[in-house]
Amino acid sequence: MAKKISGITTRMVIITMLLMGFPGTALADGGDGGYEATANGYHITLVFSEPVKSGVNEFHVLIADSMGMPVSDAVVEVVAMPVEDISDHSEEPPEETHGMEMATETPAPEDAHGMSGMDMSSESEVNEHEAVEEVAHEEEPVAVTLASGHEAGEYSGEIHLDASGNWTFNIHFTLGDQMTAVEIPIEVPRAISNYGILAGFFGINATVIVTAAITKRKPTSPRS
Amino acid sequence: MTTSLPTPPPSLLNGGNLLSNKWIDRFLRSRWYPGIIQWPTLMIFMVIMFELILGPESAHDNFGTALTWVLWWPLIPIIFLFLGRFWCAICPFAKINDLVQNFVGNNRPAPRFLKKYGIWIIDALFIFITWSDHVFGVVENPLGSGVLMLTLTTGVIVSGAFYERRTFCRYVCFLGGLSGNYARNGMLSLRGTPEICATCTIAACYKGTDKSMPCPLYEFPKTMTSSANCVLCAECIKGCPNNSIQLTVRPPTKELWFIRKPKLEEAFLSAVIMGIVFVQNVTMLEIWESMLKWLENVTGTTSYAITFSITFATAIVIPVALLGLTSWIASKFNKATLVENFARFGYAIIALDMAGHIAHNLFHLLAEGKSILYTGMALFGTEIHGASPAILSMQEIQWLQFGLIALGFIGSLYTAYRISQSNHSGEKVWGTFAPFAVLMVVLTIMNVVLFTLPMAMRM
Repeated sequence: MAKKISGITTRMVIITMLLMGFPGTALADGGDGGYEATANGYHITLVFSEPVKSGVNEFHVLIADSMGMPVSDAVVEVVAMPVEDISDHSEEPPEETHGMEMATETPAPEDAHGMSGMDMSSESEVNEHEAVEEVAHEEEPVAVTLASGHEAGEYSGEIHLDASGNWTFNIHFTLGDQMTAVEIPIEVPRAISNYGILAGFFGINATVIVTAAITKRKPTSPRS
Repeated sequence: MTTSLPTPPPSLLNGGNLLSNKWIDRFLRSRWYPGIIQWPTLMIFMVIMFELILGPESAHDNFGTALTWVLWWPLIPIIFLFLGRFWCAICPFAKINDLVQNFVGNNRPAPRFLKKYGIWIIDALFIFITWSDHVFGVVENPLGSGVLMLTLTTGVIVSGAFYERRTFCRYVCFLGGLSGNYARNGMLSLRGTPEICATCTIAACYKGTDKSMPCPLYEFPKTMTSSANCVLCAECIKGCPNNSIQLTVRPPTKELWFIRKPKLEEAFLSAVIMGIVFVQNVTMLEIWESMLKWLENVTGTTSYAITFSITFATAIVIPVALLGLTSWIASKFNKATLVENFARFGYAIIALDMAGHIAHNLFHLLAEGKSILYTGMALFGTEIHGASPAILSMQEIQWLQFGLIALGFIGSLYTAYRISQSNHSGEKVWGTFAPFAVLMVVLTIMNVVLFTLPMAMRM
């Protein structure tokens, strides 16, 4: 009986471990995620294909004029900037933001502040090739030039947000000589509560230990 | 009258018993060893876990990520080279296993399927974890790294709770498989003294005594011919009533020259490691983006999981296939089967594996090493922005990488020769060695080319 219980527990542990080993699978859930702003008579709508999350986000910007007519042929760029308090340890005064030219600069290897191990070289690889012009640097502004979408007045792109927390999306577009810019605050929720993960593992391990304590064979007393 | 002078014992660095040095002997026999190193390691591991799970979300700022992937992971193959599986003696996971076992351990024998398929399971886990790191982003994401550590913790807790000794470390730990292969190449060797062990009937080293634990990895120094599963925990040294155990320094690769029972799965792992070193390098190259684009066009999908899996599989298949092809060619000369040649000569690749692995990680350690300091200082509120994390320049690192690959090449070439020599005689020695020499040249050239191409850091 005890053997059976420990067998079942081990199987449960393995299944749970496998499920918890894929944090990525828990990220995607449905939703429209629309944000709106108005500037210079233009109505700008930012729509995420899926609820915004840390990682790669596909999104669309819809631009309409004051008459509600779609605006095509604009050059649209989005700069996503983390709000300084997104980091858990940012007690320092805000650093000078680097701006767009910084965001599109690829750091030289000597200067790159990377910290990869054998496998860490894959940093951003999962996502980087998918972005239009994105060059992401941890918690630094991320710039994306959008491509025209399927519909008139629609512009699409992908952006890699490195962390959850508060971000500002600076959407600016140029139409002729006129440049229009709006800022939209975006909150990127944590995909999974880290405390929840810890609690989950704690629960599993506690169950394993308690089960082992129950099924532990009592030392046999010497035969008289 | 003539008197014969006694032969002086070999020096400690030339095969002499390190335990004849009273300081080393005392240290290893002390009840404080390995705990005196294991406990601090466990404490550091706790800090790392805390940082990974609850620290900064960005790998760039996470001290746990820096300690794990910039410091520990690059150092680990170097430790294996000089000290064999010493790391496993002080590994925090092993300590957790022992703690759980002491309190609630059921001490059941290791499951039979693990004993039978253990190395294949380790091979599969090693491949899976490396693949999933790229696809799901384990290393680049502190939480992903944290979940990996928690999963391993759960594994050792299950093992310690229900099974005897260190079943997880011996049969499941993916790093154990890697370290086992590397430890064969390593410079430390622990063995029983044959003349003393021959008369021993108590096997205290294997079973343990009131002063010592049984060998945690089920090894029996009396018959042990490999360092693959010796973690240098010194329990056998403490327990042996006959002082039979010897700890000696040997030239790297020496153990590989005389593998008595070569195993296909271990040879396979050595070829797989070469493939993994390739894929780690390829994904850091500037041409990687173009390769991905080409793959996307060919496959008609932009799914990174698919394109990377194809690259990953190709990188792993190449050295395995090359080893298979070489074994087939050699079989024409030595009349051994392809599988026999594959299993015997797969071990020769280990030296080059290790060199490639260390060379790759040298890039991370030396180009990003200062990030450990920066992220550590950030824990105490001192943030550094814009400073270079590099310890050496790229050119200096590259020279070190080439030097390592050259050493690995010499090690693999010589090992292939010695394996050939110990299994064949006469003309067959050279007839067998020649194709494997060509294989080592090809693998070395592939490594050199990869280390020559410009690498792009994406952080």
